[in-house]
Amino acid sequence: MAVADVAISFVVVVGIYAILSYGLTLKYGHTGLLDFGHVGFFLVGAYISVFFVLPPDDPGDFTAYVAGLADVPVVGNWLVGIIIATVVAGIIGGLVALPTIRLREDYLAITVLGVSVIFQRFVQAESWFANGPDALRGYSPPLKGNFPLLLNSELTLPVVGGTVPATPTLFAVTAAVVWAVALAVLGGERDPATRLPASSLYLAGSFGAAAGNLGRGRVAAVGGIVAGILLGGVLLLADAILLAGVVVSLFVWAVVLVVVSARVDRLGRREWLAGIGLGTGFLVALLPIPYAGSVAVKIAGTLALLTALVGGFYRAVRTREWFAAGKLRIIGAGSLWFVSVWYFVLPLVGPLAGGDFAGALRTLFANLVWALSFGGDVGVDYLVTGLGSLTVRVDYQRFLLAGVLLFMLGAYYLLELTARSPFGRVLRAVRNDEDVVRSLGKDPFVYKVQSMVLGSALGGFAGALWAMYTQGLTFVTFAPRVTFIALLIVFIGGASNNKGTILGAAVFWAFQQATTQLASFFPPALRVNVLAFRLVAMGVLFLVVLYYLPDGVLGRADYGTPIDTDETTAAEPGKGTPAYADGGDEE
Amino acid sequence: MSAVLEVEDLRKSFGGIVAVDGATFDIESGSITGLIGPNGAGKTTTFNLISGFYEPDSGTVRYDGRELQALMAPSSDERLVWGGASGLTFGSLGGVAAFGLAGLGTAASLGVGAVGTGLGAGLYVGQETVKQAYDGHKNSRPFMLAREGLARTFQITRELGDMTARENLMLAPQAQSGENLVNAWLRRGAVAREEADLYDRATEMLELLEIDHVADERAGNLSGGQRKLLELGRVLMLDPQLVLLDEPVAGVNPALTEKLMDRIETLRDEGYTFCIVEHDMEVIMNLSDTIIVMNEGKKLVQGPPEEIRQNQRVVDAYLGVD
Amino acid sequence: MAPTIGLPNAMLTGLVTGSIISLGAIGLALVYDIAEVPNFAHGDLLTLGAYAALLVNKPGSVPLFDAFATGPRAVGTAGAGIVFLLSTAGVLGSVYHLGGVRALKGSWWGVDAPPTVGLGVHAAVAALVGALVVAGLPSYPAALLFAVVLLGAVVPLTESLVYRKFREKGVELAMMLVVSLAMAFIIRFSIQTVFGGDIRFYEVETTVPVAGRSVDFTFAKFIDFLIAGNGVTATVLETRGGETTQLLALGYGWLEVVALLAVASAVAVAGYRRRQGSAAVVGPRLAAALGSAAVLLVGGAVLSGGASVPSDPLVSTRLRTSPLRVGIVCIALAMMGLLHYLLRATTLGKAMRATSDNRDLAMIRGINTRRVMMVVWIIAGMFAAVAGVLLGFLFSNITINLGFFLLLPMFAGVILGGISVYGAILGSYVVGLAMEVAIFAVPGLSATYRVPVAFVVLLLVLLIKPEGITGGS
Repeated sequence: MAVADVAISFVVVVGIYAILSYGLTLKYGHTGLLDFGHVGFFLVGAYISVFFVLPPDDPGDFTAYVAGLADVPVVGNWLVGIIIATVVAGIIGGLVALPTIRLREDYLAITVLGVSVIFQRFVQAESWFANGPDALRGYSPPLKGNFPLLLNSELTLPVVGGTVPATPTLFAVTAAVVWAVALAVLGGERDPATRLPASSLYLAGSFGAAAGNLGRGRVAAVGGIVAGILLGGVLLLADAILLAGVVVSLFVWAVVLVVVSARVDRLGRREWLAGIGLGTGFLVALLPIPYAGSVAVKIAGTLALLTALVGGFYRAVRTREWFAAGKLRIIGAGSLWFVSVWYFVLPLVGPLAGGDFAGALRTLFANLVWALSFGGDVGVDYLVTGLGSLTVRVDYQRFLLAGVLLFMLGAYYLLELTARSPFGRVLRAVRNDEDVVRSLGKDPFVYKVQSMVLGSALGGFAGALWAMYTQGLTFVTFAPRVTFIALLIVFIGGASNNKGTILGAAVFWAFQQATTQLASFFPPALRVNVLAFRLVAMGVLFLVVLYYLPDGVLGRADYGTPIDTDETTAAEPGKGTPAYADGGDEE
Repeated sequence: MSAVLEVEDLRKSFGGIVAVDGATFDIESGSITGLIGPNGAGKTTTFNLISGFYEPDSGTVRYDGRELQALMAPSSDERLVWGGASGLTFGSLGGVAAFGLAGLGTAASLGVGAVGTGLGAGLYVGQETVKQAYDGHKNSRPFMLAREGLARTFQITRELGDMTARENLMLAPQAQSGENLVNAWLRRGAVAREEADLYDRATEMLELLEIDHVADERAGNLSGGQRKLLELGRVLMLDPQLVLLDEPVAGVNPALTEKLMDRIETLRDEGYTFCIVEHDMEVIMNLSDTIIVMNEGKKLVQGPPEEIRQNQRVVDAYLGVD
Repeated sequence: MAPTIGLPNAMLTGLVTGSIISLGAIGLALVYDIAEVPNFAHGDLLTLGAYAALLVNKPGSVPLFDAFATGPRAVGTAGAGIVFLLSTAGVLGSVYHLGGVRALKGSWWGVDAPPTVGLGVHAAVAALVGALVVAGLPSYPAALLFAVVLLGAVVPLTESLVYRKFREKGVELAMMLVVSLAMAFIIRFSIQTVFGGDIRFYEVETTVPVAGRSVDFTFAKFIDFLIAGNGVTATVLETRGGETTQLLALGYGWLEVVALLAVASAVAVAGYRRRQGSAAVVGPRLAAALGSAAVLLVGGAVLSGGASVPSDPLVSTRLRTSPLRVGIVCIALAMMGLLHYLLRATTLGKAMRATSDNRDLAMIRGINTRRVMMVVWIIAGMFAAVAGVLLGFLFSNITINLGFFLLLPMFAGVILGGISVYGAILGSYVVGLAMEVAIFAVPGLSATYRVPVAFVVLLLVLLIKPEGITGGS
């Protein structure tokens, strides 16, 4: 599997876990409700949504479940399934909240943990409900049948009827979403001082929409739709999927470059050097694992090198003032360096060592044009000068990526909107001191229940996406461990920081992915131990974050930022996004 | 002048220690009433009872002619939600149990679910009835009183430390449309305009209290005196009819105390009513129209400041002579 | 026809479950109450104890340590030396937690003793424990002792290395909960990092000679209670390979039953009266309970006779249990008695109770609250070790989730009891009984629902009384 494919499934999981963790960000970060049973709503969402896309239960086979509505018109599809799953998770969250929420915080945490365990045991014990202790399978994610995208398949339109060519349509949708998300991110990076590359890219990428007086969301939407239509049109007219893929990929790379360089500007040269040193050191520390022969040397070597690295870092923090001040930025630079090397350089080592320059070039190209999947038997063949023959297709992961990105951004936007509204202000007040809220004529109970409902609904939504992603469910997945992970994610980025949740999810899954890869270099008998060790490391990481960074890596976000009165008074109802609902938070 | 608050034979004890022991007094509308007494006289407990933070053991408090307990009773909407939730829980659990555990058919399970729903709703109604009618249940839902214009401050300042001073003030006003989630999401323009107004009001209040220079500072970082002022500002942002101030000027510098007193008098003249607990005799004597002296949970005397100043029983109470 | 298993059997099982829960819950409640840590890692301490015992019981199966093993259940001199060192280090470590080197010199004794005496006594005790463990290798009691002394030293480390640091930062209770959750992760998966994913079990010599014959104490015995027209009969049966042997039969006429119950209640009332208002070790309720239990036991033994099994009993019910299960209840009761004595009769216990009531006041009164806190952690660790090792034996499979599954019932018991040691014991038995009785009484409720039942009980109680059954308002 190419590195790009790994990265894409990485982003998909990050997105789903970010949405899951947003539920906790709202509950704990914004309202102060310590919900140790968050996984329960994840479970509810997953199973409820699946019932809408499963075929009716066949009593004759070895699986049994309570409902399979796939054959019911209008109702039996993912859209309805996800909506109902979200709503039901929210309602159950509310029902759980009503009796429990007035308990002391520690009692609340333990009781809701109990509720989530009850849900899990219910699924495990009741074999009629969702196949009991065995996995529930037999459904497929939406439009899966149309992938990988080839040039001549047809897509049947739901409700309206009739067919359209699948490839241009689905590629256009995927590209539009990716394009819009990239634009939205880019829009957040615009400096008031307007750096030239950023604003010209923004202007160009939005096809001029940025020049008008539109809000960031609308610019992104317009840009995405136009890009989608254009690319779809190209595919409709010609077999140019490679070209279309290159265009989308390059645009996203350009945005990434602009965003990263905006960050880079804030780093001094020595911080950069320290970061690169750190990243390289980390890379070197991991070398014994793939290359050392004996297990003892793998473990001892890596642990010794890592200890030396961490010790050096600690020493530098203690002795160098500039290092201590910029330690998070240095870690950021180091991670960036490490990820770049992992993504671009490491995949080339194999082919280059074998003297296969064309192969190395092909790998590099495949990783650059991430929007397309390369290799394999199925796909469109191209012959490109200098690269040789390429087999190209768009696989389902990329489509899923677009969907999950869109939903994650939607959840982020929803949380921002909530946190910056008077409603969010009451939530923060509840978190600070309920008596004050009570003395000011507001019932904290009402707000806490609403927070639970909304947070649980987000958990349920994430559950539905998870069901879609994994294409099979077992009760084991929904262990209390998931709540722990979501909490960790929330705390890494900063408990009440909406951007922090995405960062936390990325950090967690990067760690997860990296350790899974490293574990594969150990003999199979030892893998359980290695995988257990990474959970130990995760626990230690959690303690370190809690102790040294109680406000998370990104710190507290200021959701009470004073409103720019000029802009607010100018805002018409329903027109544009008021300034306070938009950007403006900081690192 | 009529009484805005009538307290009658109010009693409250904590585990055998009687804090308020049959206090009876009135507070005149449009006046400033001082509530004084030696430490442990039950002033703050009385405040907590009047503002609904404690349930009284017995006795009545009437605000604006209405009994506090009636004012704090849950609304019919709330009852509906609780009854509905109880019904929904019992109904769904019953249905699932019938289907899964007892192995009944779909129709029978739906029937069991319906019975469960009725049972759940009935259980809620039943326990509410028992609670109200036989258990002597007392409500403690101070937010209902604040909505009616009965507001209080806290003796030890309760600033919302993570929020800015301005946010502390913007939180207070009632009936903000943006506190409804649907409006916060869908009617952003209207909410934004409202917020801009609140922003201006909060700024005015901060200027009035002369803490506008810390408007965007986290309230947790303010000095003790600034917090006192913030607390006062917050309660005034509520636009209350009767304000209970628990030691409003403790820790505030003399010049500002002067200003605050002027401000409270102006507000009184505009029709607000104040009831103030304060240990600074100078302040309370100058400010109050009437003074109530409490001792050992009871009202000792009530009267204009001059009279109180000369009352021998008050002097005895403060000196601890029985 | 043999009597069927009924509600009394479920209650007996509930008593066993309650005993194990309470062994864990006592430590959890102590830590919750005095150290103010709602310790999510407590379940994993049980697991840690269960795995630590493997070092003695099956040294050949412990990774890394198997290098010193000379067989599956035997170690060479070096291995025995390590076990000895670990045991002595455990004892000395526990003492060290009480106040560093000065504690080792006897500063915690409360009496003035020369440092050399203190050091000498501690060293002697440590050596004795070490020798006991080594002498007992690889028996189950030695493994139990080893786990207890090891955890007595290791568990307080979590306090001094982690929880204290956070407490000094003044974090709120919710944050402590999260910290302990992270600790739970670290402990549980550290165990798995070392031991891997295999299921383990102890090897225990389960046949013991009793009255001239060998009895396997893990084998189930049936106790039939038969009520007939002329009195009550209890028989103890053993079934092995389809063959049922009657081990014991006790018969009581109605007169005897009434007389026994009357005397027992009279003794109970007398004991209660006599001890009323006393705050000594044996308070009124304990006096009543002990008195009546003694009467029932002695009287039952003396009056037993007429071992004819009625052929047509009016009521009959069967209990299925094993000496092991009864033993677990006894061990639990004995440990509770020990703790009770410690809390009521020693200066340390008084300091613990004072700290529990009001830490600041205790500190002002000159109580070394830090030492009290360490004592609490040491006790919690030792009790957790006992519970874990017993549980590992009872279930005869040890997995890393061993303790975690018990954590939730333990928490339910502690919260039910209003976060106090005595409340936790009561709460644990309530939870244990509720779990077993509900599984028995509700048709269609499979054993998977044990833990949920504990929670439903907790939820119901909290709905009615949000501070727990013994808590104040």
